[in-house]
Amino acid sequence: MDTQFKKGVLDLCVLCILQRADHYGYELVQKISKDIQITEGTLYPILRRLKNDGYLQTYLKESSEGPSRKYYSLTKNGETKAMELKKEWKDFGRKVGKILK
Amino acid sequence: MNRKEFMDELKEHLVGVSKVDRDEIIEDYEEHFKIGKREKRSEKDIVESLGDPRQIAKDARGELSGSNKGELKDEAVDTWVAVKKLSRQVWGRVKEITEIEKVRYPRGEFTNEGWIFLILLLLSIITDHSLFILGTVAVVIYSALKYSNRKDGARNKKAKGTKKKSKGKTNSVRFVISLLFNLLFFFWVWFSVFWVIIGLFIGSIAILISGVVVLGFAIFSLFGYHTVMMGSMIFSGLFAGIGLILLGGLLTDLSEKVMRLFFWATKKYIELNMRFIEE
Repeated sequence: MDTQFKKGVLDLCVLCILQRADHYGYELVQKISKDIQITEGTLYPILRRLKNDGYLQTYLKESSEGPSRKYYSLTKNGETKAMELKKEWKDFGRKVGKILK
Repeated sequence: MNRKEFMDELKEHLVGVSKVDRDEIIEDYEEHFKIGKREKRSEKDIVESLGDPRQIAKDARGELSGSNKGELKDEAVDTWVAVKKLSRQVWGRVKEITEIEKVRYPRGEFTNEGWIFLILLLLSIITDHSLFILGTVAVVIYSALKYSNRKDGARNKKAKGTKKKSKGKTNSVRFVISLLFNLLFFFWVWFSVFWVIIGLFIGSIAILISGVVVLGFAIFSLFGYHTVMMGSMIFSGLFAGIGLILLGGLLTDLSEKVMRLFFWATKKYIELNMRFIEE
């Protein structure tokens, strides 16, 4: 799958997964890389950027299995952005679908 | 590549982002490794799935570099990392070589006389007053006398049994001969050599400092701060700066050894004189 294409989509995937529930970094990375072929390492800078842009916030949560983990959740802006990107994706899909017919 | 190698490469290449972002990202990957370890994944496996640390650093730069600074060119970062690694290797080798030398000429303690000497030296350089010049010489002779007996005492105990400071008569004739010889001839020769060696030492330090300045300007220009240099000048500036620093460092070390050798020789000469007089 084309890298440029993937880059735009990753923001959408991250925001939508987090819309459903909070995740910590590792499990977020595993979830996405399970379905989309990406090198896992590239996700952390993206998460950092989304946080800097104000769409995500983080908190530490103690874990029974070991070190405390950094959890990501959506901010209000993040929620809005998620809806926005979802709509854009659907519109885009529709338009491309038309051309492909 | 194992975890340490991965993290080292990542840290090495993660330039061009803010310190906060840099620290956070490094923490994220450390956490990733920890959790992966908990799930019994091998380090190699985790590293492979994470990808190339250099590429990650490049992506991070693309995502996170401040808009005002502009994005650092990848070639610049690669060059910078290569330069860092190379100079670390070279400096390590230099330290190796000079460490071997340090054992042969053990350093003495820096005593009060040392401080007095330095102050008098500085004063004589600044004011060029003969009083201070004579003062520096006097301190050297005084220290040489004071500390020569200590070492000799230890040596002689082993060889000939206890031989304290010579109780022999001070031969006045010999004293006069020695005094005349020293004042009229030796002293002036010694004095010239003394200043040459000091000059060498100060010159080496100057080369070292100029290297730091040149390298500093090259680095600032590289990161876009203070564009004194542009384009290919930055590269030449980088290497010229490093070269001067290494050269200056080596020369400083060499001239410091020469100085130590010189003062040791002076001390020996003074002892010789004393022995001659007190025979």
